[in-house]
Amino acid sequence: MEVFISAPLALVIVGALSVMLLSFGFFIGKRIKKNSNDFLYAGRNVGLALSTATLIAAWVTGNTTMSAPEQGYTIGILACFGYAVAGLSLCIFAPLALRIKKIMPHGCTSGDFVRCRYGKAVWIVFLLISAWYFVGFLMTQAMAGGILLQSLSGLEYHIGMLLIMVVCTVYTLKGGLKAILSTDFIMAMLILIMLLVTAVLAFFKFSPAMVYDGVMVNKPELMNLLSGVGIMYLGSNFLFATGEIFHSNIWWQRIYAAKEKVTFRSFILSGLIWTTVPIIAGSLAFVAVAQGYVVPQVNMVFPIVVSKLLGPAGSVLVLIIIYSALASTVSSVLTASSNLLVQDIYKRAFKPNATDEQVVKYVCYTIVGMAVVTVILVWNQPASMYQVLYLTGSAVAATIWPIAMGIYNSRVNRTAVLVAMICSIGLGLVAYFSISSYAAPVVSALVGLVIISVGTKLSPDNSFSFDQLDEQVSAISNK
Amino acid sequence: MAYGVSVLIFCLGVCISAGLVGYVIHGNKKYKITVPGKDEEEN
Repeated sequence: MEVFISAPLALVIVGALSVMLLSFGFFIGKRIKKNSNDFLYAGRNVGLALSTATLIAAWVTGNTTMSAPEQGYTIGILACFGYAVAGLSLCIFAPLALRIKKIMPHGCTSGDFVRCRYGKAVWIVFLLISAWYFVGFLMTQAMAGGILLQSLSGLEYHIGMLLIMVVCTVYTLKGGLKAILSTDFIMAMLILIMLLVTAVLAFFKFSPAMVYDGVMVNKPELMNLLSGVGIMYLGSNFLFATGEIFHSNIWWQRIYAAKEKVTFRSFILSGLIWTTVPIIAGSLAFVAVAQGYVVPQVNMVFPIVVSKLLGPAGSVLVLIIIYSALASTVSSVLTASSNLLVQDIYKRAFKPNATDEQVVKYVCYTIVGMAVVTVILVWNQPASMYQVLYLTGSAVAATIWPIAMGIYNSRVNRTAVLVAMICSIGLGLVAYFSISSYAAPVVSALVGLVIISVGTKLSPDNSFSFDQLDEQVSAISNK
Repeated sequence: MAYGVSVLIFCLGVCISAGLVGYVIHGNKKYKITVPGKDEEEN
């Protein structure tokens, strides 16, 4: 395999970024109060700039920088637009975020909402979905770390994968959400500026007209705006991304961390800014096609294209961009998942009287546990990052309507929600294996919509009131 | 896989997405939830 930078240089760059992250973690760790409010919600007082930056950094994942070009390379131009609509999912969450702040200002997790709104049975299914998604998501990020270093420097896959997981775990343990928010700001700026520089340099070397001509010669089907797989991806990706955002505690945690007056704007701004990232990253895949670059694995398109185009400087740029994206996402997922699991399972189900220190301690244990499980699962490298992530599609899309309807409609039938979630996952998986991975979120969301709507119409629940929701949440949170 | 299935999935995806956007916007209007303005920020 072709090597673009030496292994020692790659390790020095990753080492420098890791030292920066760890220093931040230790620095912030010394300054935060050791309570869950500071460790998990950054004091619930985050402003617009920090909130917007952390949303961008958390949503610019290893998938955005590596799978968007993978999709562009394999599906074509429609995949770039299809990937970009995931930014609009952040925008559509903005009104919901406002409503969540109004009805549940003292909430802690997305699980709190589901438990108080729908009861224990739905809550258990919801937690299983969340755990499934978090593990799938972490797997793709860990894989991206290994593939990144392997494709640029020839370092063995396991070294890069272990490096990203170990550094992010230690830094998250030390600084909590406050450290993550601070580094997210720097990471978001780094990612956006470096990506822009990369794209400008790349298209300066090969003009868009040259790239288009090259693609039309080598693989003209990639420019087909009516390709079957392309339109299916375009139609399903918004629902998949919306399911990811609506249910995931990563975003709920950030709603509670931000001040109410900045919540709406930060989601809208971050969504709009984010849409540029997959379009820029994805468009670079066409350079690979136009130039006939040999790509040993589809996951490696982005690092290989940038390195070939810009030489060692490009390799350094791409290493900084993707490592930053991975670090911010892995740490966000680790805090959000451990927060959800500890608050919802340990504190609510087993130890309601747990002290703040005990909660933080168990959150730390869970962070380590999640990291270890992820490393074990991706030890034997799966073939495609995006297919690993899309396997969670039916599960995350099953949460769209329960969350949306649960936030706006007090009469949603609880039994219908439970049946809808189970049927959505089941039929979504059938669609995944029998039609296409991209059909799964659409089928899942459709099944959920029909079952909940019909169930609620036939037997509306008149026992729930939004006025009591915050009290119920506060009661189970022991506030 | 038949092209018609891809078109069907695309159409369903677009319709459900549009319905969701409409539902959320309508929901915030129904509960009169507005974005906090600058005056409120200054206070």
